[in-house]
Amino acid sequence: MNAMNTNTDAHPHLKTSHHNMAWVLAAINEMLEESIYHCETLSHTLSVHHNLKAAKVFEALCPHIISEQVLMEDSSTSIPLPEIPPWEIPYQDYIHPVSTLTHAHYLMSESDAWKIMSEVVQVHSCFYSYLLEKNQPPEIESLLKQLRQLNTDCQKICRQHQTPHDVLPADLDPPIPQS
Amino acid sequence: MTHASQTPLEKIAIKTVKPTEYLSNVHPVWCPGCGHFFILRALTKALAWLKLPKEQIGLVSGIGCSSRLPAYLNVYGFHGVHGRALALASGLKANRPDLTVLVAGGDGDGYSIGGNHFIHACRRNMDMTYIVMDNEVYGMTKGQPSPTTPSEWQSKLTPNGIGVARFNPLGIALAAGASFIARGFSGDPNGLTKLITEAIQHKGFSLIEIKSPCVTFRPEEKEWQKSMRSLNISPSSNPAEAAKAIYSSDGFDTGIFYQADLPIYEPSNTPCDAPADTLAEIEKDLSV
Amino acid sequence: MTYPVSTTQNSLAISISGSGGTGAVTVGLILLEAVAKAGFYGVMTRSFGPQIRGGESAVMLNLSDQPIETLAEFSHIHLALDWLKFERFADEIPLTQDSLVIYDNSREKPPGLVETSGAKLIGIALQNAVKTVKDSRMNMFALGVLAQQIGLNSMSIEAALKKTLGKKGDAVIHSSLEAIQAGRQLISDSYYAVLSNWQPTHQPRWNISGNEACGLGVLRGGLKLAAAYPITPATDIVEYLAPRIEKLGGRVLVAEDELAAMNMVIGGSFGGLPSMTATSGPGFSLMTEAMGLAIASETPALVVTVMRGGPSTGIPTKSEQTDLNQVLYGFHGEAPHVVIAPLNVQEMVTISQWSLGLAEALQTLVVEVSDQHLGQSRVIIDPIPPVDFKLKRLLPAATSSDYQRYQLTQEAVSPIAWPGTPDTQYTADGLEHTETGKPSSAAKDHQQQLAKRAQKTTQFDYGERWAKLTEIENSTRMVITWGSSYEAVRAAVETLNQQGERISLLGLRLLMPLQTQKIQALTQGKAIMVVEQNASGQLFHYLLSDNAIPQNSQSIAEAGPILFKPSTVHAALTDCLETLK
Repeated sequence: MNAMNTNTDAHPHLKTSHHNMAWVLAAINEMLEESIYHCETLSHTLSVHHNLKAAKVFEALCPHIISEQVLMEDSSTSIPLPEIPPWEIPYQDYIHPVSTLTHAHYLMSESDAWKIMSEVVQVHSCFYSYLLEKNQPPEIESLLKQLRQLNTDCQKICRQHQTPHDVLPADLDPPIPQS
Repeated sequence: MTHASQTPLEKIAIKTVKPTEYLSNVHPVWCPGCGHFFILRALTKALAWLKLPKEQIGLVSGIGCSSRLPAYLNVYGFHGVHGRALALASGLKANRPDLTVLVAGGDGDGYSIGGNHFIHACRRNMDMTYIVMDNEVYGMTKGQPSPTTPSEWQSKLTPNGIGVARFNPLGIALAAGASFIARGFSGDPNGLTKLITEAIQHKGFSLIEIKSPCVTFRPEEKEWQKSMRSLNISPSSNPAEAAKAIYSSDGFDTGIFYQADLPIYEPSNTPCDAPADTLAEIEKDLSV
Repeated sequence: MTYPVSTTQNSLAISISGSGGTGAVTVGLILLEAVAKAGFYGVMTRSFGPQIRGGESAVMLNLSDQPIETLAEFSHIHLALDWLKFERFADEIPLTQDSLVIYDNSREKPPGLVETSGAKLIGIALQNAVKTVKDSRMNMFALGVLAQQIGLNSMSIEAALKKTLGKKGDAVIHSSLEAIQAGRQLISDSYYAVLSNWQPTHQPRWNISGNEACGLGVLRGGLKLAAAYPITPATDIVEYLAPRIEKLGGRVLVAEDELAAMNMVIGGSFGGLPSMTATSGPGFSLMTEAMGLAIASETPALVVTVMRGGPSTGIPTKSEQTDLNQVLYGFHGEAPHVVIAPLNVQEMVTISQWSLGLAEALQTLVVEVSDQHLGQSRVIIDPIPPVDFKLKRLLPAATSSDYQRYQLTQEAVSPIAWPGTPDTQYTADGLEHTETGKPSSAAKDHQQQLAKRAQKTTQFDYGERWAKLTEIENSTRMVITWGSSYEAVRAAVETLNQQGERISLLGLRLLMPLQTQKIQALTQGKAIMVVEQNASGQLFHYLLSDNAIPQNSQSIAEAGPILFKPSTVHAALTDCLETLK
């Protein structure tokens, strides 16, 4: 609890401190961990709800996000990352994946799944672009551009698999009380 | 450590505790899109940030979707009966003040059948944190109104609307004596993580009322993502001011409404190993 | 009419009644303590009207030079401080032509039932006597009258008075002693000065009520949490515990209702420390869901239920053995648990400690069944020596990997982890579960866990304490009873045996799991009579249902609130024995 922020700001708890490499890496790491966690979790629960097709989409796209992490790892040396309060990162205008994951549905189609993943990856791009707007040391700038490129590649794949005019199928089994 | 992602970044010296360390090997079976997933994540992030040892945490729940939480965490948990989690947690904390006691449940479990225990748990102000995952419906029993469901909502059980005003958990908590009263939103995980952290750190009874959309029975609640906002004022330690804030709110404000340093009920401060002499003294009183 | 008195021991029955704060109960308390200090034994019960204060009240003492817990057949001496609403006590204070009734003759006359009893009446000017001693109370004069009548020495009275009223200050003590002395002079002849003929003991003894004995027993057992909601007649237990348990590192938690109380017990026990609650029939009803949770989640829990007149609100201040069915069967699903009932106040300390220990060792619900009579009788007993039952929670071994909370083991008891210990985290659950505690609806898991929870109670060796057996050589009759009926039954059986019968006696303590085979072995070839204080014969039917007793057994079942005396049991048994001939 040493780095605990004890200020009670009326407004957003998010503070940005994008000036050093360690902070940037920590912030990106946190964002990626969050996306990976939720995609894995969603994939799992979709499997449990027998929507294997949609589950596979999230399962397939996790490696893309992990590859963003690998890229970071490769381009950094052994730097101890600062412990930043989880509510302070990644940045002020960060849109958490929840805003798109809330639209997941146990009957969702593969196309829906690709769409959601696309939106998640878009958030990553936004963060990298935001960081690039501030002046960054060259190694970071290079890293960010590579990350953004990974996102672009990923978006291409997502767009390929989306079909327009998707309609949620009807649920043929009404719910049964459990307790 | 049972969760799947073993990321390459572990090679870098991260001395932090990972949130996934608090998870058990049982995965949640909530519906895809359910708000509870984000609450679970925020909770583990708060625990990790506080570096609380897993074995020092007691998590008590009742019955309902949210009450399934203990099985998903690698802590000492108790999945009890409907509505009585706060009572069970009070007994646990009374005997084991050394543990961090968390209580989880839904709006039905906490405010309907659990209503009486809710009032008295607030009143006792024992040091514990009550996480209510409020989706304004009875999900597990498939879509009946709960005390926090808006009165005009129609269901099989209430085809013409409920016709009864909503329960005001924050107002009741304040009147009953809780010393930390906050509202959170599953769709604001960062803010929620902070609230949970502060609630656990607070010495006394902390209530976090978390709005969490039930995407299956109340899909319209996904619109909350657009309406929920952060509270524009600092938490007050004055109950009258806090009451004003609570009553002025349209129910879409997140943040801490009330936080005060109130006396905590601690049934006994004496250590558990007491000298046996006192038993002899007690028996002496019986002598003719 | 002269009632047959138990011939098994000396006894002297004294009752006192009065209203509006006249202090009848105080007289009884001091008298009991004084008789004890003089070297004797006794039992005191009380009765009262529904008023919160100032109502009519009565105390009934049965004194002896041997330990005694039976109710008197009739009062040898009754002292009435006044006669207001005395009719209420007619059944509990039987008067005969051998009774001496002393009363204040400056006010209302004795009611008709007193006159028709044939008792000897002596009227004295009690109210006037108060004027002769400054700041004195009428009840202290009454105490002096009684002391003189029974031959009780002044030293014992003085010591008892100081102990009981010491807190009220020297002035009160002084005026009370003067009043007692003056009271001794009010009646010249003594009709029941029996104490000088009795053999006093110089051994230490205790003055204790059943509820206090229960409290002491659980404190000896290491209780650390008592969570309870007040209910007559169980509240005394928790009130006894409250100041004492804190000295021993524990606490009392006042619950908002019984539902909370039982869940608090489970929470406290889950935390690793022995926990209990005390209640009565209506509260027990509320607690049944949570008790089922204790059984299913294998959480140690002790529930002491002090039975009162039922059903529903019933007769809260009177005793009845009417909740047996409830404590056996009141749960949904298969709910194997332990039910234990002490037979008298004297053994309540040990039995309560045993009950708590069994809950810990078997990790289940133990219900200890007492009743208002046992709970609220105040008795002089020999001190209870400490016992080490060696009943403790089974903890995981120090090096535990792959801890499974509900592991199937030989004894069906699985180690229960202490919260705070690393690597043994688990989630306790009311849902059916696997060995790890993960919820499961699979048939195999259900069968295994049902079997585990049943076997751990049935496989356990409860030792000799499961019942109290008095076997008469070559007897062909046996009486079976339980709880507070035991003492009256014991006295009646003893008398019958002295009169030439050969009747064995079995007092059951362990009611669940029923020791069917043991009971069958004991009852084989005998005519069985089951005696109990409830209308429908709950114990009788329970024993029949498992063929523990032969089909031709007889039931002697009487509802409360008028409890068995040795004479009523004697009469009922005599009738049964007639039918056997």
